[in-house]
Amino acid sequence: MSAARIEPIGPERLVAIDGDVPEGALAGLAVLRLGPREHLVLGAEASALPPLGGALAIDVGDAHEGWSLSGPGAARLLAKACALDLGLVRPGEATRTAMAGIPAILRRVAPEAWELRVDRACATWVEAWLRSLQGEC
Amino acid sequence: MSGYRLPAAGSAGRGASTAFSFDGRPFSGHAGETLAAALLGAGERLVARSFKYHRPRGIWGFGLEEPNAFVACGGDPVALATRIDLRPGLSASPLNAWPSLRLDLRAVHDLFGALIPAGFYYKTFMGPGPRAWPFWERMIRAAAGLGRVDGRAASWTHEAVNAHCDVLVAGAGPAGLAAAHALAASGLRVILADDGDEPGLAALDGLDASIGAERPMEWARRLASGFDAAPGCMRLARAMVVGLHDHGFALAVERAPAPGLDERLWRIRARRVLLATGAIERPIVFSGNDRPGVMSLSAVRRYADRYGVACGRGVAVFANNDAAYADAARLKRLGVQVGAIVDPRPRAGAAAVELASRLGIAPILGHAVVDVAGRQVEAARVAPLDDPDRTRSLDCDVVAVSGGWTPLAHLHAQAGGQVGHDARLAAFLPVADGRATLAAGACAGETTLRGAIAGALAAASRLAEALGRRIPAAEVPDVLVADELDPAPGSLFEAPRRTGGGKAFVDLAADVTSADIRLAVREGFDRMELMKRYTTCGMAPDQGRHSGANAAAILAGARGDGAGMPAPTTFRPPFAPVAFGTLAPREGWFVLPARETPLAAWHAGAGARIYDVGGNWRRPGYYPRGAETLDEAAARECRACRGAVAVYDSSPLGKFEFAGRDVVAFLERMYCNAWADLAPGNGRYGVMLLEDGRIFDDGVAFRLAADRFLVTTTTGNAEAAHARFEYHRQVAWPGLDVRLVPVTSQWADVVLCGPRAREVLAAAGTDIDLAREAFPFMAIREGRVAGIPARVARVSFTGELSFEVMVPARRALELWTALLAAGAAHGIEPLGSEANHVLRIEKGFISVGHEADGIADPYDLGMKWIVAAGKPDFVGKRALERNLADPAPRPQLVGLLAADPARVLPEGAQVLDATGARGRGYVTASCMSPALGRSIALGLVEDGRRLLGTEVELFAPSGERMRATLVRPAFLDPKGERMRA
Repeated sequence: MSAARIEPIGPERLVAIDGDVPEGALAGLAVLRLGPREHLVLGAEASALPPLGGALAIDVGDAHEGWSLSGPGAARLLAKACALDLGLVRPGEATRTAMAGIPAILRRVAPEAWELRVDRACATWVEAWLRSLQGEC
Repeated sequence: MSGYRLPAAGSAGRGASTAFSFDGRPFSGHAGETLAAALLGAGERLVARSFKYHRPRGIWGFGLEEPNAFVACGGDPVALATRIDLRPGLSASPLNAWPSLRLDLRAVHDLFGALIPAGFYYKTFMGPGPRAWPFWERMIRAAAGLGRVDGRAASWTHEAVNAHCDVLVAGAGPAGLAAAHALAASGLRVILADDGDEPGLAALDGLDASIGAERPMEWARRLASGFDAAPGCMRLARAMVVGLHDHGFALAVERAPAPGLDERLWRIRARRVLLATGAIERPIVFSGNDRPGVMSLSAVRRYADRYGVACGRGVAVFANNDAAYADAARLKRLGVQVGAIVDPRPRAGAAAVELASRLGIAPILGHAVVDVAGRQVEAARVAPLDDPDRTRSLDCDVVAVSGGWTPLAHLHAQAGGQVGHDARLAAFLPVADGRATLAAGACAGETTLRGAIAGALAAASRLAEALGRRIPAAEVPDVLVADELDPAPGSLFEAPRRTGGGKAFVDLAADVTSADIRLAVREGFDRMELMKRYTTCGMAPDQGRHSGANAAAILAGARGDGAGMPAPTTFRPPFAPVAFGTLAPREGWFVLPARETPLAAWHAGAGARIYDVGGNWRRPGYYPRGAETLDEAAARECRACRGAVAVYDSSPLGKFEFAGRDVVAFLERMYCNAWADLAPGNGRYGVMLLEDGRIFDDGVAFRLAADRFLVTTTTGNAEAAHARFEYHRQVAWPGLDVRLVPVTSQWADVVLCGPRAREVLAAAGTDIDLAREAFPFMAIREGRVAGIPARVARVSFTGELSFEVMVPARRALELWTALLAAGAAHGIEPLGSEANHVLRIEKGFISVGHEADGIADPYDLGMKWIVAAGKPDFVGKRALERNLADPAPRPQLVGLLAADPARVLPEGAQVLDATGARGRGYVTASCMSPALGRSIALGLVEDGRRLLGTEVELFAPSGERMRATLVRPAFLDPKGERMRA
C-alpha cells in the first residue's frame, strides 16, 4: 500500500457566503458549493466580492486550516478518518463531512489530489491524527 | 500419541521447519500450518481442559468451528489453536489448567459432577448465613472461566477503515466466488471478504472434481484473479465479517493485514449483501464424545488434505449421512487407516455403500457409538440402537463424527432475517424475506457443488437487477464431482445411553451435557432461550455454533410435546470474539478531539496549567509563579484584575454573524429577552431557553447594524447553539429571512479588564475613542488596536471595567503581546479560568453549567428583568408561565456566607431543611475571595429569597456538616459601578 503526501495549505483567504447568490455573481472565482445556500469562496475577501443581493458574506480565512492530500494512498488515508463514500466525490466537487468526528470540508481537486479544511481550533489535533495513520496505508 | 505426518505433504506444502512452544514444552512444525495442525502432527492430542469439569480435551475441528482448543497466545487470552498461524518462537499455553495440562487438580470437579449439574449455583451454596453466598460465589467464579487477561497495556496495533460498495459478498467459497465474479463483471462495486488465506480452500481443496474443464482450485484462482482485476472491486483475505447491522452496515475484522498491524477493522456500507458463509459439521452426542480423539470427520480429512497430517493411526467413522462416506473414502485415499463406518440409519444410500466397500471400509448400519474407552480415545464401543448394552469394541484412536451440517445463517439473522427449519437437512436455513441480504451455497442449504454455483449465479442476477445492472447471462459450468453424496442426515443426533455410560456433551465449550438439558426441561426451563441461560449451553466463546442444533433436538425430544424443532436462540453480533482494541482503535490523545485557542502556545510557554474543559477546549486554568499553589496563583491574578489590570483569552467563545430582514424577529423568538429596541453599536446580555423553560445558554449579542448582529454564546454550548439556530431557521421558521455564518474560530477574543484597562488599551494604540461618553458600557466599536483591525466591546464578566478586543485569529499573538507590553507598567497579569471563577462569584454573575444547572429558569435565578414577557412568543414562554403558576417551591439563587469565614463551602454541598434530614438545595459555586478576605458561595435553595438572612445547615460530600447564612447573591459592587466606569 502506498503512502499519502500531506502538505499544509497555509494561510489563505476564504469567504463564507450564506444565502441565495445572484446568477453569475461568483463567476470566475474558485467556489465550493457546500449546501443549497452555502458557498465557500477560495482566495478572495468579502469586501472585494461583487454585490450578492441579500446573501451574507463573511471572511473566514482565519477560522480554517487546510491540507492538501495527494498520491495513490490519499483516498485510503481519508477512508480511515471519514465514513463518506469518497468514490462519489468526483474531481472538481466538494462536500461537508466529518473527519475523525470533526466537521470538515473535503474537496477533490484531481483523482488523487484532495484538499481538507477544518476549524483552526482542531487543526493541531487533526494533523497529528492524520499523520499517525499515514504510514499504515 | 496418535497423530503423525503422512508421507505426502498436503496442499499447503511443508514450509520451513518452525520451532514453537506449547504448555512450556518445545515443538517443531512447518511454516504455513496452524498451531492445531502442528500439534496433531506431533502427536500431541491433549491441548486443553474443559471449562467446568476440567476434563482433558483435544482438537475437534479445523477452523472457527473449534469448541475445545482455546489457548493463550500472543497477547490474546482466549485464541483458537485452529486459527493461529505458526511462526518462529510462537509460545502458546493452555487455559484453565493448574498446575499443568497433564495434571490438573481441578479435574476433581469431574468426580463431583453429579453435585454440580447445570444451574447448581441457583440452589446451593446459599448458606449458612447471608455472607455465605458471596464467599462461595468468589470461589465458584475463580474455579470456572477461561483465560486470564494480562493487566498490562495491550501490545496489539489496530486501525479502522471505512469502505463502500454496491454488494458485499461474505465468504469466498465456490458460491461466493461465483457470485462475486459475476457481479464484478456487471460493473458493480463489490467487496469479497473471506476468512481464509486463499479463496475456495475449505470446499475445494483436494476435491476430485472438474468445473468446466478446470480443476476446482484452478477454477477458484481464475475467478479470484478475474475479480481482483475488476475496477472498483476489492477482495479481503483473512477477513471475517463479524457483524451485519442495519442498512447494510457490516463490520469485518482483517487479521495481520500489514507488517506491524495486528488487526484492521473494516466498516463496510453495502447496498446489498450476499451471504455465502457456508456450513459447519454437526457433532453427534454420545457418552465420552469429548475425549481427545473424537473429531469432526471433515476436519480429519482437511488436516490430511491441507497439511499432510493424519490425526490418528486408526480412524473409526460415526456418521448419519451419505456424504460422510465420501469424506471417509477421501481420507482412506490420502493414506489414513479408516476401519469402519458406524451408521445409525437402517439403510445408507446405494452409492455410499458401494463406495465404502470399494475401499474396504465396512459400514456398520443400525448401530451407534455409545461410549469411548480410555481417557483419550483407545477404542469405540459400538452397539445396536435397540440394545445399547450389547456393545462391542472397535479399536481406534480417532472417532471421526459427522452428524450432518449446520448452515451458518448468523449474519442473516443479525440483520433481522428469519430462519426456517428444513426437515430434510434437519437444519435452520435463512429465509429470503425481501430484505437486503440473500444467501447462497451451503449456508442456503445447497448440497451439491453445481447447485451452489448455480444458486450463487441466480442470486447474483437478482442482486444486480435490483441495483439496475444486468449480468451477462452466465452459464453454469459443467460440474462433475467424483463421489458427490447427499449430506442430509438421518434422524439420530444422540446415541442411546448404555448402562454406566459417562457424560455425553452437547456444548463442549461450556461443558453442558445432554443430562443438563433434560434437567432444565424438568425444572421448567423448556424453551431455547430459557434452557440456554439455565444451562449456559451456547454461551461460551463459540456462541453455540457447534451445539445449537443438537441442543434444540434434545430439547424438543425432552419436551416430547410434538411442538416441532425450536428456533435457535437470537444471533447477535459479533459472530466471533473481537478484541476491544479492534473496535476502538484510536487511543490516548486521539480518542477525543482537542481544541486549542490561537494563544495555546503562549499559555503553555508561560507555565499555565492547561485544563480540558467543555467542548474539548484546552484552556489555561492558572499561571503559577514559582511554587505557587492553585489558590495562591488565582488570588494573585484576581488582585491584579481588581487592583490594576489583567488580560485573558476568551477566544473559544461561540460567535455567530447574523443578517437578514427578519434577524430581529428570529432573535426575539430564540431568546427570552427583547432585541428590537437595541440600538446599533450596542450589545445586550441575552438568555436562550429550552422549550420547557430551562436556561439553555447565555451570552451577549451586539447589534452591528439594523439587520446585522454578532451573537456570542458560551464556549461549551457553541456547537449546540449553532445546531439550535440552524434547526429553527431551516425547520421551525423557514419563512424568516435569516442568514447565519459561524465565526467562532475566525475571531480571537482578548479581554482587558481592571480599573486601568482604558489606559492600557490606549497605550497599546487605538483609533477608537475610549472615553466613557463616546464608548459607554455594553457598546461595540470597530477600528484598529495595535495596528490590527479589531472590534472592541465593553462587556464585563469580571465586574471590572473591561474591553473585549476581537481580532482575526492569526493576529491573536500580536495583539496579546502588544497588550502585555502596554500593561507592563501597570503590573498586568494573565488571568486563568480559576481566577475568572472567583471574580464572577464575587459579582454574583451566573454561569451556565453552575447556576443555570439544567433545571433553573430565569425567574429562579432572580433574573425577572431579562424576560420580555410582553413579547408575543419566544421559545420557552409558555413553560415559564406554567412554572410561575406552579405553587411548589422552586430553587432560587442565593449567596452563602459560611459561618467560618476561613472555610470554603464545597461545591455540591447540600443545603438541609429545618429537620436536617432532607436536602432543599445545594452550593453551585464557591471560593475564597481575595477582595473580601473570606469565603463566599452561590447556591440554589428552595424558596431561597424568602429565607435570606437565615442560617442553614449544609451537608458536604465528605460527610461533614457546616453552617452558613443565606444572603443576596452579590458580594461586591452590587450596582456595577466599576464595570460601567
